[in-house]
Amino acid sequence: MKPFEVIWADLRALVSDTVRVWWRLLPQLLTLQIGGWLGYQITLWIAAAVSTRNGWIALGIFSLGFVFTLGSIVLMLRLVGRELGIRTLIPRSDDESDDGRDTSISRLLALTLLPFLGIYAAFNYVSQRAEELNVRSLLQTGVLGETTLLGQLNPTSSRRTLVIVICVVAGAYIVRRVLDLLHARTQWQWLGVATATVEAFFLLVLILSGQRLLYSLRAGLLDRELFSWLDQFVQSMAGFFRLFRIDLPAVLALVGRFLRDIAWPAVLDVMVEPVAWLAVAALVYGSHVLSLADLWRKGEPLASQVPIPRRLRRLRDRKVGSTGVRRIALAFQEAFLGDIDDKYLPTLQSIRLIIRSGLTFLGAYVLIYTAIRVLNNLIDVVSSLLAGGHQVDFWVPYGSFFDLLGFLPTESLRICLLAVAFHRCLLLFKARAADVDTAVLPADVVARAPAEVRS
Amino acid sequence: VTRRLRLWSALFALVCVVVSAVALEVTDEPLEFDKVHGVIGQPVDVNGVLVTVLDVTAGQTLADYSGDPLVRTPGLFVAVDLQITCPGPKDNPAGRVRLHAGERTYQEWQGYAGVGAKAGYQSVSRLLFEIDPADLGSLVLETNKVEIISGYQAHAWIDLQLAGAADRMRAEAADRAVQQKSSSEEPIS
Repeated sequence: MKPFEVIWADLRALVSDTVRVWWRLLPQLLTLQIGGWLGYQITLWIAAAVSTRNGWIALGIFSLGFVFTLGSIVLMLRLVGRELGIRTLIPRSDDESDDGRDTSISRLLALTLLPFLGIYAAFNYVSQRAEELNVRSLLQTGVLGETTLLGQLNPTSSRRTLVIVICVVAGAYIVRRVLDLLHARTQWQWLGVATATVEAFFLLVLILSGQRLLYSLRAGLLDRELFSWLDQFVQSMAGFFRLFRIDLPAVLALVGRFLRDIAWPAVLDVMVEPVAWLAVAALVYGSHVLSLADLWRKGEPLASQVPIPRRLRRLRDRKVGSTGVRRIALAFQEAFLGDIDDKYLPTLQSIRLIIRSGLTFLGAYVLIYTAIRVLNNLIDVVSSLLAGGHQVDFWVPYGSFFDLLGFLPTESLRICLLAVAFHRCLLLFKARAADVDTAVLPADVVARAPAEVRS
Repeated sequence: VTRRLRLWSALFALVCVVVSAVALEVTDEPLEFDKVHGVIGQPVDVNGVLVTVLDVTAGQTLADYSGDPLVRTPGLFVAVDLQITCPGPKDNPAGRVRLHAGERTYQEWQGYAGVGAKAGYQSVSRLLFEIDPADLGSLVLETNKVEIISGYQAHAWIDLQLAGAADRMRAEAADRAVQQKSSSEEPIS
């Protein structure tokens, strides 16, 4: 295939399949989306009302909002995945264990909410939502009120608050791990959902309380000592560079500005975020899907699960032969570090696979993903212009409805794109496998497969 | 062919990233505010509150409340009489006022004084600015409510329409004093 044909094939397939599946599933997608949005709005409203009395309870209620938001995303991905036949695309091996995500919604949520929460935190969505709660709370307490939400959670305000914050953070982490272990032992699915809620609470406390500690740390240590040390270092080096007529501080400032204002946002917003979302979306369709795709890529026989990470495998091997205190210590280690293995390593595995799906595919995917975000921005602008300028007492009750105008079409389109992109990713991997039946693959995918596959 | 394909793929991916970054940067900025346009002498309705510029005077001397000269400027003092009519049901407590002339923005001479009115009342405030005489003909007054937490706000944007009278006002300004005045508030008649 010629280069332009490959590029055009990826762009056309992603756009046409996304729009087609979006249009076909629009009523169901909108229902799920509105359900998630309503759940979030109600928890936000209750949390803001409660925040004047008790900030901790408000955060607990608000954590449920994340379950509604992320739950609706997971269910929408599942719906689109079914329509595209992602799971049926993959032959199952006989020894493959069924993790229940296809038959039980609660099981699916239990398995996928934590990585979704992880991506929400990584790209500042949790911070944005926390800010939303803070603003709503401030409108009730007044900016100078004594019971503002941030005031109640500020660990630098008194020693008592500091102790409470430490206890809540430690307690939330322990409760979360205990729930996680209970979930693994009992297989009672709603414990998985409860785990995600506690995790959301934990993250909210870290963000809302921890930022005050960070400010103090920055003001005390970074802004004064570290930066003055760095400044002295740069000034001492500047004399040497002046011999070559180079203004080192100016050059460093220029490079720093470029990295901070242009390069870093471009890399994070434009490249990392879409790829990370695609990787996490892939988890909805099961970790064995990822390992199968990986194996297709390598052209090896099928296996059913992502290999257990080496560290955890070592830990489990050691635990078999150990007794007493050592066994307890190993169980403790597994309980507290197992999170990374269970929830986040499949995500990393997923990212690895998607990055290897080819530059053309990734370029086309990033471009269309951005186009959807741009569409959302434009709808936001148009809806603001239609609403006209208003004071804050108008925007608090009605602003969310105006946001909905852009959110409804673009979020459902984005979810469809994620599923379509992952589907195409699988097709591209499958085409590279030596023993695959090319009759089931689209012509453009077969055309770019290795020669031995096409023959 | 594979090498050429790789090269084109890399180039395409790079173009996609650059185009995406530019598109996001251009469209990601939220709107600043909604300009509600008006002209001197005509009330401008901003979220139910009527804002009217009643009169504009200019002089090189500033006089205090009793009419005694206070200070003289090589530029111009401009006094804008601004009426705020607030039918209610809520008060319109505080507003910020600025003058614009092209790219330049002039803050109030006395710092932030603020204009507002209680529900059912109308107020008249005299606002003072010290400006470059060359800007007199292109002055536009901007006023908006001050909110610590705000959304997409409406700002009154009132053209003072002094282009035709600017030369005459500049000529008369040398001998003219602009007097400070206290704000007044009375029920809407």
